[in-house]
Amino acid sequence: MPGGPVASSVMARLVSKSLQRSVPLNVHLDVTYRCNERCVHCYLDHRDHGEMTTAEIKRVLEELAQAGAFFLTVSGGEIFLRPDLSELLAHARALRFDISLKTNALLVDEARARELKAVGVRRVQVSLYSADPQIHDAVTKIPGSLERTLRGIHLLQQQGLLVKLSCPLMRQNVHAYKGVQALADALGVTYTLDPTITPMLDGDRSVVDSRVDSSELLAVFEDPVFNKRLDPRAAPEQAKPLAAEAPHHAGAGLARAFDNIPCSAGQNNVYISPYGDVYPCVQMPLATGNLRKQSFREIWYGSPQMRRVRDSRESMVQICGGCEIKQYCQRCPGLAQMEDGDMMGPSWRACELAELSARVAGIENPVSAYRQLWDEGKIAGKRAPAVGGLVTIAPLAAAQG
Amino acid sequence: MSAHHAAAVDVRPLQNPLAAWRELEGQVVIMSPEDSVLHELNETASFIWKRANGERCIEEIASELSAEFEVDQATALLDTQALLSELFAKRLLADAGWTRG
Repeated sequence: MPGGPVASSVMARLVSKSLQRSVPLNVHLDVTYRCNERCVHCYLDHRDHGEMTTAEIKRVLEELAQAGAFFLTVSGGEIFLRPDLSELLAHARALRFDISLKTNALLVDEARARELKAVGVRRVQVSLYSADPQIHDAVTKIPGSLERTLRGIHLLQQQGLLVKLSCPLMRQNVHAYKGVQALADALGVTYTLDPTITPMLDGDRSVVDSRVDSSELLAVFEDPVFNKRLDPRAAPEQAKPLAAEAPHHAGAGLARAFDNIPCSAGQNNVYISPYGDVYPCVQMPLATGNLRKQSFREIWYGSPQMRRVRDSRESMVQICGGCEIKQYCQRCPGLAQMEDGDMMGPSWRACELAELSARVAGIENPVSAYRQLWDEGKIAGKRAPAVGGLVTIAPLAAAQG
Repeated sequence: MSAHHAAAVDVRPLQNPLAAWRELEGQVVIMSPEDSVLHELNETASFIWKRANGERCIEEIASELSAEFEVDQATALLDTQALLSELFAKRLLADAGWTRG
């Protein structure tokens, strides 16, 4: 029977194949921007500017499945504010999507948790800012929200759903990460800590004030717990004609798959807003088309903006090419676009974080190439502009009325 | 039923409805709903998986496999049984219509 030896990583091969064929393997679909929390760091406009209808989202899901999309993240806003959420998830499951949800879990009750399990949702990522209710509730601006979120998590776990905690790190909760880790341990769930705070989609940078200063972040970076990954599952199983692995084992292979590609945006990753606007990534505010006017295929394969992103390569980022601490850098092209005006240019925030990481790794006085040029006065006017270089500052559908 | 026991040829295998899967360039990947393990099938295994829809019995699937890949019926049947048993052991097939050996 045909079927040669399997390589080291199922996920890496899948990703590699999707990159070679420009298959939108990962879809982030926001079904609403409305929310029942008012988090201090949130980048969304919570007013409803005309969300896609149930029928429109179902059609979009069908188009995505046809294009090969597999990993579907349904997010918001708060997803449970959509009364048709169950119907949408059932449709996505009928199309055989692997579904992850992002929620604050405030509206999770026993019936909803049972429904999620029955429909086949695989993972639920819950936003949680601290194990201390005072800190958490101050971020969400909803008194009692931590207690309700924890109850929601409990109900999800009761149904056997895989829960993951997501904790953005900001000034308001930077010292709470150890508590979040301890809580995750107690719950037996995984967690992520992320210091990335992005400007609002309309270009408003006020939320960026919540970012943790470099000096304070250094203490966090120096704590080994920051990079701890909790998920002690078995090593990948190798068998023919069926190979299997837990996705998190794919790390090194994935890095090789990306090689000179800056990130997954527009390569095998796509973001869709509640208004049908299509972006290469949730962190890249480059509108490439609207699904109320064009098919997904037309936008994904035909949009000049999407193709520009897809054709970009890390080697095109000239300043960064010679950076001595490049190995510590996680430049985000979307953030570089929003804050520094050029997706193919350096990102001041990425430089700061790379310098911190390099320092933690033992390098004395690490300086990014961008900072060095700035210090030498060779890139005047380029440093951390007050207003980012947004290509589009409002959702297409809203802008077009 | 385990990977070491052949399934009866009249069993009509059915994909676990909770399993997520996609076909990319003739090869199927399946995300296991219970343990979040990603499975990859080769071309022939993908062929079998797509036919595990509760409508065809193992013998019929093996016949189609034999015709498509030009292998003899006996080999196709053994391979089909082995794969389906493995998929069942990994809970990627539904219990309905399946008898544990």
